[in-house]
Amino acid sequence: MTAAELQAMTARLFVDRAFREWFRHAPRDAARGYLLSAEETDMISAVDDERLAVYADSLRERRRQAIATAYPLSRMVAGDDFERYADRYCDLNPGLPERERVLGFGNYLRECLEAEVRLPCFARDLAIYERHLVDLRGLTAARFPTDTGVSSGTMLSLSTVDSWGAAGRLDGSLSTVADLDADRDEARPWLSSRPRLASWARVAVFDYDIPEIVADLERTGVPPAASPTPTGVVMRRVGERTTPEIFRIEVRVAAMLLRCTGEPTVAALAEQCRLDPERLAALLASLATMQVIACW
Amino acid sequence: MTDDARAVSCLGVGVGVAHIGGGKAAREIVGADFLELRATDVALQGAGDGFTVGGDAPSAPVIVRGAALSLGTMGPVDRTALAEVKRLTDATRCVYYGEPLCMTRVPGLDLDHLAPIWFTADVLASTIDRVDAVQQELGRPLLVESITYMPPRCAKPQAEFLSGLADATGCRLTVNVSAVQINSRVHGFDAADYLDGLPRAAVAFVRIGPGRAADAAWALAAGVASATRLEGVILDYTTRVAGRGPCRRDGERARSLLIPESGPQPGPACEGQSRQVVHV
Repeated sequence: MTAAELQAMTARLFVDRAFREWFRHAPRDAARGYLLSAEETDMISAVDDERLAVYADSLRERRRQAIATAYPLSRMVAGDDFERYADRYCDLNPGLPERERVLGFGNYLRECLEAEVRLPCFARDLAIYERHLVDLRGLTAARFPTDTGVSSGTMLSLSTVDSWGAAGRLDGSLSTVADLDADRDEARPWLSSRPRLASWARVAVFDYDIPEIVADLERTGVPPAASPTPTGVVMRRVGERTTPEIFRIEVRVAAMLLRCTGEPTVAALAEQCRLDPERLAALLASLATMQVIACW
Repeated sequence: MTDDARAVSCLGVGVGVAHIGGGKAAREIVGADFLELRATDVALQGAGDGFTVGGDAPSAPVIVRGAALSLGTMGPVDRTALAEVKRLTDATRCVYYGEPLCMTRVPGLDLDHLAPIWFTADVLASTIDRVDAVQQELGRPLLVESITYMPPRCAKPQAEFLSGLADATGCRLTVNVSAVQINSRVHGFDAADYLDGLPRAAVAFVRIGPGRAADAAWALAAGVASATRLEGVILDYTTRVAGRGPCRRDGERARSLLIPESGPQPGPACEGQSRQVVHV
């Protein structure tokens, strides 16, 4: 079925700048990797370079625009460098679906910024922060949590667990936490629970206070001076709103949450993170109530 | 346009919107009878729970427009994508589900854009199979929209391709007159000639984007309307609403394109979200 080959080559011409250039200079050479009939080879060889370029440029601009829209703060901070990275990224990844492409750019930008000394040091963290937002905005689910009882901006830490009234919120499966017998593991079945981060939540540990930097950037439009301040953040999609809720979280709790993949048990997590198991269980119970943790 | 004895009831004037709030405003100004929604804007609420767009539920009949099926790609239709479309059409109870005649992907490469196809016999045969499969799964005619980009030296003219597709599958067509008008300028073809070649009996809707060389596009729309029995006119406000005054004028112009006896007809067709188009 050579028509499929013709389509494959045409599509590549639309998105792959290097291939298009090759095709422009030597169309028959470029077509050699595709099984085309003589008629199809003639058809594609007759494609008008200018028309092809107009279409390909519009496609490329659309892709760059999607990236710029997804990472407005990184663009604000990185300026011309952002455009350069976005352009190069589009060249390197011509075939990814849009969501994957836009998400992948966050990782790519972070990697590029590792070696970039001319831009603010927090730019790397900012790229990852915006990538998480893109990720959450693009989620589709039958229902996202609506009222989860803790307002955005609340600081989540081990020391505030009691003030959230965690024990009072425990549902049936968690009630054992209140009745736990610290001396006997068999009386603490929650130790073998395998918590998993909810599909609508994301956790990150940043080197800088990204929520503060984001607030500054949104207020002033100018990259602030910032010194390293390790900061944990939980982001959670709520209801139909596409702007996720953001919570600060103690760095060691964030590090623990990053391990909540549904594999390690609470006991293993407590050991890995050097946390008191009962305190950890109470924290996880609260996070489950907030629907940050699932499968508790 | 080629002729055929086929009569349909009329859906009226519709507005294409990205959120229901905009749709409510547009309906109020334009007096629209239905809404056209993008599939990517629709949020399903779970089995039997209906759907929302931007948090609101529509109170008018809807048409849904997507591009997930990549109708022009060679080979069988993606069953996963088709199942998603089926879920969408069932949940929204849309009057029509529409897709552009284009390719949005080939193996290993997502274009995320409505890319033109070659109008060859092989591609036509494949597209017929795909449209048949979609219509069988959805249990209703598909609304196919031509994106009107003319690749040079194609083996079959686009209009001939569309006629072959409509004849073989019974699909319905939406003609985007604004796109035809713009593309005729950019790619140097005669818009009226192009429209004249379309299969008259299959053309069900005209889409017009207010503000984009509007007068020339309205003239083309009038030409299409006079040669067909349109089921509706879609004012595409998905990305830009022209303003209260222009919108009202658009509404009046759109309604004038629909022949009087085929204006919006009361009854089950327009009362519920789902409606059977009658072909004679």
